[in-house]
Amino acid sequence: MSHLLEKTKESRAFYSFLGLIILVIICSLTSSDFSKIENYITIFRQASVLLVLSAGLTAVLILGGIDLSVGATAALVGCTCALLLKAGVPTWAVITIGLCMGAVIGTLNGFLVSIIRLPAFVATYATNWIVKGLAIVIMNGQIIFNLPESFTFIGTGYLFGQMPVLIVIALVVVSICYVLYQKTTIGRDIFSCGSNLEAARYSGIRVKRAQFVAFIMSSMFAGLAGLLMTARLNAAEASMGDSYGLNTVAAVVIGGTSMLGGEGGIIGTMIGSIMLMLITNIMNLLGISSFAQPMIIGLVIIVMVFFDSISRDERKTVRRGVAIPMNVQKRKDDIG
Amino acid sequence: MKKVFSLLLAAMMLCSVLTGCSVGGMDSQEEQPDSTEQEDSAPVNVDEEAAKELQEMVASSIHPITGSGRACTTTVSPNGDYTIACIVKNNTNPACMGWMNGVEKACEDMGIESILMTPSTNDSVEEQIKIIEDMIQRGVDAIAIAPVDSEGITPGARKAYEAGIPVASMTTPCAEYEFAFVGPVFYDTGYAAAQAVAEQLEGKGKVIILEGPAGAQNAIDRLQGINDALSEYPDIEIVASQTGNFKRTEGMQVTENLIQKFTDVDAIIALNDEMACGSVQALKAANLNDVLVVGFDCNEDASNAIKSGDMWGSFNMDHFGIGYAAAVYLVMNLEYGIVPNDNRVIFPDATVNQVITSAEIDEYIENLSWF
Repeated sequence: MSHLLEKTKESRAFYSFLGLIILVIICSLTSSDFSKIENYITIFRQASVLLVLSAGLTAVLILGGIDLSVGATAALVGCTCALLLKAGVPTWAVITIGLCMGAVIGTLNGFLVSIIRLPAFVATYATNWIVKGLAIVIMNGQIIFNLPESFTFIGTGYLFGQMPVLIVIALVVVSICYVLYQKTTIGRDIFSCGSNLEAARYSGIRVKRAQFVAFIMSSMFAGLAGLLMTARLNAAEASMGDSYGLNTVAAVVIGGTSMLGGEGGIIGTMIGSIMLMLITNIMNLLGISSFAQPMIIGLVIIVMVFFDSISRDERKTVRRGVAIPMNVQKRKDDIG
Repeated sequence: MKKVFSLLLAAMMLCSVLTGCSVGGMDSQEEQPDSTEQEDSAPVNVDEEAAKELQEMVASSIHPITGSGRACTTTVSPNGDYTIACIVKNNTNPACMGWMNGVEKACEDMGIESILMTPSTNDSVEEQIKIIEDMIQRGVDAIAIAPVDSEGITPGARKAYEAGIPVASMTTPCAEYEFAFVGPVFYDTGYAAAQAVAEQLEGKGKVIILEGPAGAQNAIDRLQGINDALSEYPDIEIVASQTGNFKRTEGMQVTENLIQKFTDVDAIIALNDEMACGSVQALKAANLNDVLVVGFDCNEDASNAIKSGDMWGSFNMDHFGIGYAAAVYLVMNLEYGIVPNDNRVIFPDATVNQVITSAEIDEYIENLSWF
């Protein structure tokens, strides 16, 4: 039992989860409309798009990098696919093309970061501009709407009666990422690169492969998110991804993934996404003034990350005790 | 020592080049108004009557433009060979395309030249100022601009003013130094649309308002108009007023959130069409089919939604017509020196049908629309 408790306390997502629970309790107390099952489903549905958008980004952050191009990638894929659908290309083909486009953009990012060795911030910032520009060019200022029902189903349909397809897709994405990050060699490689790149290189880890995989995943899931966004809105426009902006990075970091790399996970990102959507939801239900809303979002983010960071110290001592005894030993010597 | 000396020399050379350039620039700018004056004074006798007639029209707030939207025509036909630059906010918003196309069409109709520009960073006021500077250098005669920010554009507007180039603002005014503001009164747009909704509801019901971004002046004015109009109907209750930041995604999310609480809402007034369309998606997903949704702009997407019955109506902002009117008033100023009352051109005004509903939608899409 105590072992289990120790393990839970060690877990990265635990503290974010605790924060989420506290937030939910506060919300339920302040608004009676909040704790309705339909409202929870609404929040989950809204969080699904953000979650898919930040699912691959989580890998990039664990790697110690950053990907600023996810919003633009989502917009470009969404716009291209909407154009293709309008041209009469079947839905399954469009979805495949969309994911491939994501993979291509990811490969470009991976190439810039691991082969050309540009800093991830600059490389993906540049890609962001290129991709955004492409979206503007192909859309030529237009908005595409009224897409075929077979496509909008992935954004607005229901499975098994009451379960929104969007949430099912998000859960599948979480499962894939969980297995990939926590249970496979490539996942462990990404973590090692994030904790110490040089050490990883010397211990024979294929650093470049890890970087490519992380960036390709980031862009592919961004592409998927673009498809979901388009299907949900039943429309596509070039600036579609702007609403998400840095929210994606925020969702990952609130979930306990470190921006310095080597630490984090998809479960935390899931919690982070839900939390961000929950804040807007409760503010709408309470009828908080539009002028005060951005400030409140900022304050809640600070409180949540603060919560996570005070708990991090504790986690670190636990983890070091197990994983890197040399370090602890050295530290003790220093102090002594 | 040698290095310092050579650096100093280089700096001096650079200085002389720079000052030389800017002096040259100033000269060409100062020449500009002179040359237009000469063109003005040359063909006096023929144009005097036309000028007088136009002067009187403008003085009594009648536009020398007939029709609205793509059906706009004008009686103004200048003798001078002018170039008008049109600068908009971005190249993704169809409204910006509307302004550009309006200016372009007006210039074509009047037989003059137009230059169409957008900042490469969407909604960058700094870049708009840079474009104004470039346009001054290029020697355009007048500028029609849709400023990203009324205050922020001031340095650019001042430069154009100092160079003697009239600036007409479209939909968003420049705080200072502008020749004329062309666009509707935002308060009135809100008032007209809300009044139409209230009449349709027969003065009774629950209304949700989707606001614009906090602090945007146009949105504040429009919201005030809506609130004032609805307050005249005691049985209409505004149950919620929340921001959707003019974005479709956010309009959808906010509506999804609000209909959890207000399941019996009768109408949703969104401060732009993007949010209204998002709202329609949210209502559809929740199977709320008899909620009256109204937006502003009357863009393509909204027009289709109105046609299919998903949306009740939209206020026609007629961006095409605004661009058209801006070009016409600029040319009238260049050619005849006419200045509109209070430096204000109210377009579209109440003489055109403003709230487009299912009754007018076919005619609108066919002949008038700005998209």
